[in-house]
Amino acid sequence: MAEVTEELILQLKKLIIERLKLEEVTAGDIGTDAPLFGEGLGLDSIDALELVLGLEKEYGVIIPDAEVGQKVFQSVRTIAQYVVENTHKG
Amino acid sequence: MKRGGKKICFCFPGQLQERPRLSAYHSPYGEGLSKEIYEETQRVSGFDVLNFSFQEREWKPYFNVKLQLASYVISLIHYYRLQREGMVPHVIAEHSMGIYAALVAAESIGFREGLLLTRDIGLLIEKCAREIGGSMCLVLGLEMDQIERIRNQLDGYRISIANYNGSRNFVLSGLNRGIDRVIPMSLDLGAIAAHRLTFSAPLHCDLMEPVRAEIRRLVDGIDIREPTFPVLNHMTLSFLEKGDIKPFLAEEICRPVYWEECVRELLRRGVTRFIEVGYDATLCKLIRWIDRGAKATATGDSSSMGKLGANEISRDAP
Repeated sequence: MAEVTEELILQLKKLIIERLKLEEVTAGDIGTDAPLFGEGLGLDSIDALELVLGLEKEYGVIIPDAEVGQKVFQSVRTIAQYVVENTHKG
Repeated sequence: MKRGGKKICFCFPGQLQERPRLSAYHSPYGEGLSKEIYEETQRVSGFDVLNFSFQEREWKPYFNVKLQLASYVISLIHYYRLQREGMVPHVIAEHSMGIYAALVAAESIGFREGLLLTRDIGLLIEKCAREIGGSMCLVLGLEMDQIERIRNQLDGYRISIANYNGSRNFVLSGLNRGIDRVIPMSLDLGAIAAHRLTFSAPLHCDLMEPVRAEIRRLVDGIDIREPTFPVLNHMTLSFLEKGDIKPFLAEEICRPVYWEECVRELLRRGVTRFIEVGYDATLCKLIRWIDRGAKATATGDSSSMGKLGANEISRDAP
């Protein structure tokens, strides 16, 4: 089974910055395990929608509903795990 | 507007969804909230923006009205700051209850008149919402046909689209028991988010018809002047003229906000930068979702505002 790489983590941080137009944030500012929503990076549901679209475009992975979204968008690492698990299926 | 030149749109957001956390940025001792605005707000409306409370005990339950007043005052704190720094718009847009601050910025009404309208219309809305039992919810991630399917299944619950905020981004209004059903139905259909708004009134739909005449009576009592900057009508996408404003204020409570169309219309008219004049970046995120190429900055985000030079956002010399 494929594993999460540092390269993927960095790509995802860049995707978050680019999709959300976080002009003041660098990849180094985003903790790999830090919460993305609420008290973490302070993202909200419209940001989640942007990330859903971004992940679909860049990696072809689908976030089918809010329940999956809540699990996936906990941190950059959980997003990376989801990308790895869902880009190597069939 | 000159082709190829700058065209700045100041955008006034609707009501906040939670009590704002005011920093020194807004304090009467800081540079934001002047002592005059602070005292005028307290004296005219009885609302203490720093403590998020009314002076009179009986006003304490009015959470929605407090949110509206706080939104109004904070937007104008930011607007006056921009004005002091020499930044003025070419055009003004507003979302929902942002209209009152927008009209003050356009000099159609004064600060005091806007404050009283915000408070008194807010009280009418809150009373109406309590009597009919209505509210709003946000639904993200569903297409319009899916929203229509939900509405059709909930015939009798008076569910309407209140805000067209972009593709797959809608705010729905309706009776409470209908909104209670919209949320799980949306999630079952694959919505990325569906939740009730803390602002608990069914704005921008015909459930508000009972207050339309009362709002009209309120606005008939004030003097309205021709806007000094064009203000976009979020229902018709035309610019409001003096004679349009009173009917608009009474009607807009009962009609949807076509925000996506507003942004597209402003871009068609050559807007080069949107500046959200308010507490946070709610409208900036909606603009980003509507058009990724659009430049949008929020006054509530002091770091990104700081990066904009006055030259970049001030009007071109004639």
